[in-house]
Amino acid sequence: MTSEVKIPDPIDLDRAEEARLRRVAGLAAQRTTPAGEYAGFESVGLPELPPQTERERQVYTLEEGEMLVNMGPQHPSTHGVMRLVVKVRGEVVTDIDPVLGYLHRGIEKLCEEATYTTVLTYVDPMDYLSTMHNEHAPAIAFEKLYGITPPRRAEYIRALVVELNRIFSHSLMMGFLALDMGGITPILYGFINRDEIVDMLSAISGQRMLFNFFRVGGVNWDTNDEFLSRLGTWRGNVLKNVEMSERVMTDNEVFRARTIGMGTLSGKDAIALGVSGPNLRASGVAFDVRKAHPYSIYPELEFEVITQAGGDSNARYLQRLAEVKQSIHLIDQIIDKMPHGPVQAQVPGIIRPKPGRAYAAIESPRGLYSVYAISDGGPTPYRFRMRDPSFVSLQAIPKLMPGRLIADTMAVMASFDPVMGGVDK
Amino acid sequence: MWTDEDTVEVSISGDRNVAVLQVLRDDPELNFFFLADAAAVDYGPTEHFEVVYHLYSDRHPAWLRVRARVNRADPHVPTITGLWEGAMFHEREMYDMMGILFDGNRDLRRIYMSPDYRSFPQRKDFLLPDDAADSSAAGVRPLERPETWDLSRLSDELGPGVLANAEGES
Amino acid sequence: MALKTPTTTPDKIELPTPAEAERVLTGATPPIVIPDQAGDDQLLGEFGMEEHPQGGFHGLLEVIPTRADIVLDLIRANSLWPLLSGLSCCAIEMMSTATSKNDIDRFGMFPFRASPRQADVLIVAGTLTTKMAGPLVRLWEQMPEPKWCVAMGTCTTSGGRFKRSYSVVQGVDRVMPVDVYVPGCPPRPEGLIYGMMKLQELVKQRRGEWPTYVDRGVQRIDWEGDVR
Repeated sequence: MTSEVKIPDPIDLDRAEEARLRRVAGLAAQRTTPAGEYAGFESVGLPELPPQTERERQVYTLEEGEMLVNMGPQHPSTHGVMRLVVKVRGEVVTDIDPVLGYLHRGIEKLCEEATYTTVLTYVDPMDYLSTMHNEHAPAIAFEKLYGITPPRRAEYIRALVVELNRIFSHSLMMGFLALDMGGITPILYGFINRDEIVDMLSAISGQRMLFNFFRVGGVNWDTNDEFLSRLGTWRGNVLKNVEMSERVMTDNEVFRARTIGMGTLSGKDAIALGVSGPNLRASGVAFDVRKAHPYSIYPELEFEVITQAGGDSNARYLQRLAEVKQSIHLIDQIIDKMPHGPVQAQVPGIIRPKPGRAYAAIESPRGLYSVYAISDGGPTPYRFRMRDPSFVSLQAIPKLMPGRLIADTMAVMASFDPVMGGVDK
Repeated sequence: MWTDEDTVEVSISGDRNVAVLQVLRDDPELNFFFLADAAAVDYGPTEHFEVVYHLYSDRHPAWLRVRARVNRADPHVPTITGLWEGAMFHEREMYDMMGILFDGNRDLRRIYMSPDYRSFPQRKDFLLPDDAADSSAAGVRPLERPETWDLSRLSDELGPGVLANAEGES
Repeated sequence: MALKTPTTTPDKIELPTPAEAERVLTGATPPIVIPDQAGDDQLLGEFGMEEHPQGGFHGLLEVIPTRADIVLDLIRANSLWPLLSGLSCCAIEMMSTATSKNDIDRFGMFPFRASPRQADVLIVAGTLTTKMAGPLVRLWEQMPEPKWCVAMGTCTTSGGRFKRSYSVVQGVDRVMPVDVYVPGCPPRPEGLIYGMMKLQELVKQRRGEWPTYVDRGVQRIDWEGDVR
C-alpha cells in the first residue's frame, strides 16, 4: 500500500517551488507572535495527551527499605549534564531512571531554517568529542541529495581527519573511565594526546574543537606544511604514548577488579537495545558500519573488524584500545595512498538539491551515527534528523545496573562513553 | 517501493508497522536484525505525520526504509518496543518532539523538554521566533538591551570622560 | 517554569560618599553603619545591638580599611577554587585548561570541587538550557559568598550559535550575575586563562558583581605587582 506523499517528483521542479512558496506563505500568515510570548507555545490542535505517568510527575514509588538518591545534573563524573534517579536498597541499586534533556538545544529545528552549509556548522556541538564524524554524516547525506561525489583527495582527507578524531575520542574515553574510578593520571595522558592531535587539526581547519571543516562536496582546505609536519611528529610518538597510557591501566589490579565482570551485556541484548559501535563489538557482535555498509574510501583500506568476548567494561576498554591501534594502521594506509587533486567539488554557495530523501550512516567512536535528510527543493532542508549512538546506548544502563553498587554505576556508564551533547542534541 | 543507490523504501500505513517490522526481523532470508533509526516527519500543518524506520540486514546490501503514515488528527501508532527494546527512547523522543502517541508503550513521557512543557517543538506549526528577545527565557537583564546597561560601573576603568560622553549622546 | 532572581545579591546598596568616608578616616564622626542583609538583624534586635557600631559584622570592619584585607584579597585571588560545572563543549576546553599542557594549577585553581559549598567560582562552561537553568541557579545559591561567576563561551554570554532556539537561555546573565565573560566557541585554553587572570584582578580590587563589598572610591588600593 503506497502512501500519498505530497513531495513532488524529482522532475517537476516548478511545482516543488510553487508548493514550497505556498507553504511558506501559509506559515508566514501564522507568524504573528507578539513580543514577549513564547513562539509556538499554543500549538494548533494538540492531541489529547495520555495521563501523566507516575515517573513524569516525578513521583517514584519505593518499596520497603529503599531510598531515592538523585545523582543530579551536576556531578563529578565528566559525561555532562545527566540526571540519574536511583532507587537503592542500602548500597545496592534496584532501579535507575535516567532523566535527559538538560542540554537539549533544539538543533534539529534550527537546522530546518539554515542553509545546507550552515547545517554543517550547527551539528558540530552535538557529539562534541567527535566533531568530524558529526559533520561527515550530514555531508554524505547532502551529497546524495545533491547528486555529486566529492573528489578523491577530499575523501582521503576526510578519512584521515575522521580517524584522527576517533583516536583522540577513544583516548579521552579511557581517561574518563579511569577518572570516574578515581585515577587521575590516565586523563592527563588522554588530554596530552588530545592536545597533540587537536593542534594538528587546528592547523588544517583553524579550530581546536568544533572544526568547521567539511563542506558539501569536499573539505574546506587542503593540507598545509604545518599540518603535515605535526602529523609526522605525532606519528613518531603515538605508539609510545598509547603504550604509556596502556601500561597504567590495562594490567592495573584495581582497574581490573573494577571492570572485569561489571556491566556484562550480551550480544543479543545489545542488538535489541540498539547499542552499536565499540560497545556492541565488545559483546562479540561483528557489526562495523565501515565494513557492513561501506562509505567514503573504506572499501579501499584493509582492516578487520575487531571484537572482544565478554561484554563487560574491561572488554569495552580493550576494544577501544584495539581500535586506536587499528585507526593508526588506517592512517598509515591513508597517508600512503593519498592522491593529488582538488579538495572541493564545484558547488554553489547555497545549494538547492532536488526534492528527495537521503540516509547516511557512519561509524562514530560511539556507534552508528546517521542522518536522515529530506529536501523539498529549497535552500534549507525540510527535515533534518540525526540519530545519535549515545542516546540509544543509554538505554542499556537501566538494564545493567540493578543488583550492583552505586559506585559501579558511574564506572559502567563511563565504559559506555556517552556524550551528553549527542544524547540531548 | 522505491530505491535509491543504497536505500530501499517501503511505505505502509501506521497501524501495520508492528506486523511488517516483525516479518522483516524474523524471516531468515530478510533478517533485518538491527533497527538503525526511528524518526518522525511532519509534512505540514494540514498534512499527515510519518514515522520512518531504518533497518539493516547482513543479507542485503542496502538500508531499508519503512515509512508509516500517521494521521494528524489522531496520531496513534502501535509501539515497537516489543520487537526492539531500544526503540523506547526513540518513541519517547517522537512523542516529545512531535506529539505522536505510541499505544502500548509502558513509559511514554517527555524526554527532552520539562515534564510540564505543553507544546511539541518539531511540528511545522511551532515557529521559532525571529527576534531573540521573543525567545523563551527572556528575563532579567539581557545583555542585548541597552536600556538595562549600568553605565555607572564603567567609569572606574575608563575614566569620567566616557560617562559624560555617553550621557551627552543618549 | 518561572525563574526568579537569586535572593542573595541585592539590587541596590547605599555606598558612602567620599566626603563621609573622609570624615570617618579623620575620626571626626562615628563610623558609618552600612546595612547588609546577612539576616543578623533579628538576632541583634533581641539584645538591642542593631545600632551598636560593634554589633554584627557590618560597619566597622568594612569602612576602616585594614592591611589584612590586602592579604586576604591576595589569598582569595590566588586560590580560587572552581566548581565542576561543565555543561557541554566548553567543559572539554575547561578540562584541557586544567590538564598538563595549559595548566591552571599554577594559578591555584587545581581542585575542581564537586560540591558547591566548597567552591569559589562558578565557571559556566557550555550551553545553558531552560531545563538546566533551575539546577544551575540552585547551585549558585548554594555557593557561599564570596563567589564569582565566569561565563565561558558564547553560549553563556549571549546564547551563541543557538540564538533562536526554543530551549536555550540567551546568556547566563539572565539568571545570575556574571563577573567575567570569556568569548569564543569554545574559547582557547589561553583565552580562559586570560579570563581567569582578569577575575583575579577583580578579586584583588574588590570589583565585580558582589555588591556587598563596599566600593572604596576614596582609597584605591593599587598593589605593586598587580596583574595587568
